[in-house]
Amino acid sequence: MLAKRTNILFDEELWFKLLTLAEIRKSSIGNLVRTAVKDLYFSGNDRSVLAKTVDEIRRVRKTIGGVNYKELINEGRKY
Amino acid sequence: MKAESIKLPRRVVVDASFILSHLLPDEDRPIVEKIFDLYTQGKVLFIASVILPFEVVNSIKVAYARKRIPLNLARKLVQLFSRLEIFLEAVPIANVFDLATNEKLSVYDACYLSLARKHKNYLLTLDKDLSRYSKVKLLN
Repeated sequence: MLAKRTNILFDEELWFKLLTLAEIRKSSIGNLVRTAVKDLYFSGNDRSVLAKTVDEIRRVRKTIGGVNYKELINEGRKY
Repeated sequence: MKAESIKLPRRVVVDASFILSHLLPDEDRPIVEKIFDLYTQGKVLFIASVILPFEVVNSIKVAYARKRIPLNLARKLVQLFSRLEIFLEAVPIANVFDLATNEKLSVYDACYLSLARKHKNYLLTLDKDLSRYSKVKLLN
């Protein structure tokens, strides 16, 4: 759901390029910006992908009794 | 803290022990699983120091070297870990040094603490020393 609004300032040249692209793609500038943000900063990390990853971790991992995380981390820090 | 009663802000800091307790569980920890459910539902974002991936992967390597897990599982866990969305944030290293010396912590732990302080002390950790500073108590 699109519920958050923001104002973005563009220089004239970039704005005109974006406007042209939106017209060519029959899209909106907002949609182009949203798509670019997702692709650039969060590609492959939508919620369904994360849920699948966490499910897969739960499926493949195995319980290791008596593991001491602090000690494991400190051992790793030595090398 | 019980799993059903957990209340977290939208952004929380995680350390390596928290992530490892999900990847290499030592026992049933309903609260950790509940937090990961909130994470997959988009209700909580994980933030960590830039050292986190090195610490997690190093620990998986140690677990393999000690024959606690086979190589194929270690590799798979590293791969799955790399797919988790965790926002890595740099910390001002001079402040980290001061924090480490003042609080008698390692520089590594001070990195997490520095970040936790920036994020209102919401630090998810299973490390006893660090959990003293956190508003969220995951340890009994």
